[in-house]
Amino acid sequence: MDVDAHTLVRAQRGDRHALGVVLARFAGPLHAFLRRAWPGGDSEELAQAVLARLVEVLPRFDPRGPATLSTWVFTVAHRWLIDERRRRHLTVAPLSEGLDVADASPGPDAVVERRQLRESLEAAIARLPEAQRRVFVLAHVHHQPLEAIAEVEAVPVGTVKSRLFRARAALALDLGPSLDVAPNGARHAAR
Amino acid sequence: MPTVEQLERLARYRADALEPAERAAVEAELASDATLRAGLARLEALDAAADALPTELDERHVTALVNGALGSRTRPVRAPWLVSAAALVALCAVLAWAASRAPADARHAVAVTGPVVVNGRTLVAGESVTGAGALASGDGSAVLLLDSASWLVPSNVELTLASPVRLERGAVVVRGVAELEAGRAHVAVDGLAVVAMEPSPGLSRVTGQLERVSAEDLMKREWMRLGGVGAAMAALGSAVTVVVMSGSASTTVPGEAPVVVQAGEAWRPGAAPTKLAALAANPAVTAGIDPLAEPLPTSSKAATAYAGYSREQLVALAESLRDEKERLLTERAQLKKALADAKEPGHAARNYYRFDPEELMASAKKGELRLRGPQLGERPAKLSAALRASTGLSDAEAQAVEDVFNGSTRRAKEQLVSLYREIGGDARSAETLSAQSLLSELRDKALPGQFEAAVRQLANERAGLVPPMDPAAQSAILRALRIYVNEDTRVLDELDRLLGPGRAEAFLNDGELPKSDNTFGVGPPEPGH
Repeated sequence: MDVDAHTLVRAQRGDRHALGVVLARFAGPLHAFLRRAWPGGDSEELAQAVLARLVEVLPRFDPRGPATLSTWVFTVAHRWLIDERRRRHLTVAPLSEGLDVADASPGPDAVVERRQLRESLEAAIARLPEAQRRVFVLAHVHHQPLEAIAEVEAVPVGTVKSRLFRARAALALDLGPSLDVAPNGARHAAR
Repeated sequence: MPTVEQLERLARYRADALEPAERAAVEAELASDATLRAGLARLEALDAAADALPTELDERHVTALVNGALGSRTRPVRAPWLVSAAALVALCAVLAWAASRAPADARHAVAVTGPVVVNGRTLVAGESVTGAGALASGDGSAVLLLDSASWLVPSNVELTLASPVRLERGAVVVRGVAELEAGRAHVAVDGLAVVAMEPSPGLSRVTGQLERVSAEDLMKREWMRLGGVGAAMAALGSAVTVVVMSGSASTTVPGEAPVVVQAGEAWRPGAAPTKLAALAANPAVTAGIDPLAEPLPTSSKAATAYAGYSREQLVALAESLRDEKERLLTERAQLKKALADAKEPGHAARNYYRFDPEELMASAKKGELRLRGPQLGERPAKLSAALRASTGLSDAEAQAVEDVFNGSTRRAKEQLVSLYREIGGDARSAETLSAQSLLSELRDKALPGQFEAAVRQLANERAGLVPPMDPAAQSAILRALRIYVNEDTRVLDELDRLLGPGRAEAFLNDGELPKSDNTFGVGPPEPGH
């Protein structure tokens, strides 16, 4: 769900409270995106920098334009991420620690299995090549339009699709038996 | 477990991204291959797991992040193309017109120094023309009068005079209210702005001379230089740059929100406007001509073309050129393979036995490493009945040949896993990755230039041009490729011992034997290297 038009206009005019509402709407997803797309980076610092950037450029968003606010925000973050990585020349480190996952559902063993698979998948995503990881996280996790991703990556949409297919193949291979379901419905133990 | 290539194909199949014929082929394979069906099931499970990944993480941090962003605005990240303070921007904004008053919808081109070509007609100094069409300033320069705006068109500019005007290449100075298109951008100027367009990636756009025209002195020459700012912005692949001197300009690119560029700011597609300290502080911006001490360089490809670039700009440009080079080399290797595989009447069939010395020499000169043999495949080698019959192999011989191939595949994998772990790769995932995936990982982890150096080194060693490299000096990617090269040779030696050279050659070239041919082509080294 996006921010209501009235709040957006006030935020674009610099109303602090309205800005807070807009930022709160996107802080979580952007933090999740940056943490996955830049494993080993300080996700808190990155998220704060991107949010500060949003505050600066929010007046330039045109609600009548073709992009939704959500797509526009992710495009800003995506572009910032690419520029910042170039600027810092950082290398990727595999995600070794667990993630603070918002999971409010206690439950039986099936939930535990899902959580283990999810953690394995998060770690496998961190091992993807950088370009594949960015595209996979944006398209598959945050459901961003391929055209918007292609625009920021400066490649054709076909290349974005190819990266997605390769990423999925690499993840399926990496996770291996973790994805198999036994005849009794249980999954193999996650690695 | 299917290979990563098979899984990628299945992923395309699952996304309905295959041509009908290929889709039918995949379905036929799925019907008979349980391994592929298992791979497809894993992809389905992966998609479900990925869809279930949370899009937000730990809400307790959100408030702190928001307050931090609002409370302490961080300094904007410098766009990689801001130049040093030494770069100067000077503009000539003095215009004159000599033509009589024109109808509202006509366009006037007033040639200032000539020759300027408009619609194929060459204008000399003092001439004017009305109408729409193509304008090419060449070595001359011109003033364009268009309703409520004046355009200064220096040398080496191409415009399409239409509604709106389209800047094809070059840089123009626009004063007044005007609209133009450049690349995919639509620019609406209300003030004084410079719009530059360089459609050739990697080249810099430095404006040519332009003429100052006044009632007293029509022929006085001045130089206008965008300097490091304009040239650098135009060169970094974005092709379009807008620099606003006074007033404002609105820029629109399809798929992006409109951007308003204020005075003292510069803009290119895909980035927010950035203040130019040198520009904002220069009082000569709106005052008129600011003559420079030295003339412009005549060639945009001269070594001094990058003189005004910052380090970040150069790094970004080098990275984009390297990526393009990789893409072209890969495409070239694929083309060469396709050419080599294409059967032409009168040409000898491709030989899958040992390379001739001439072949190795030719490959070395081209910076090309060719590896072949079924031992490169991921599936266990199994000789079909048709192949056994075609090559006359006994059951015992066929089993021995399979053992040779499978032994090679196993050794290569073991060595790649060991190497991958040695360089710090994830030990847990190493065992599950295919040999091709391990090689890709090692390639990704290689330092810039190491992969190319490794390919050339091995190609030269095979051609006998250089001795084998000291093991201590070998990069990980070179060692990985050497694993394949050594296995290539070892399989041939073992087949020779098993079948004899003649039968081994016939076997490897038999049409029933599935071929595996990998070519790594990186091109010859740069001169002087």
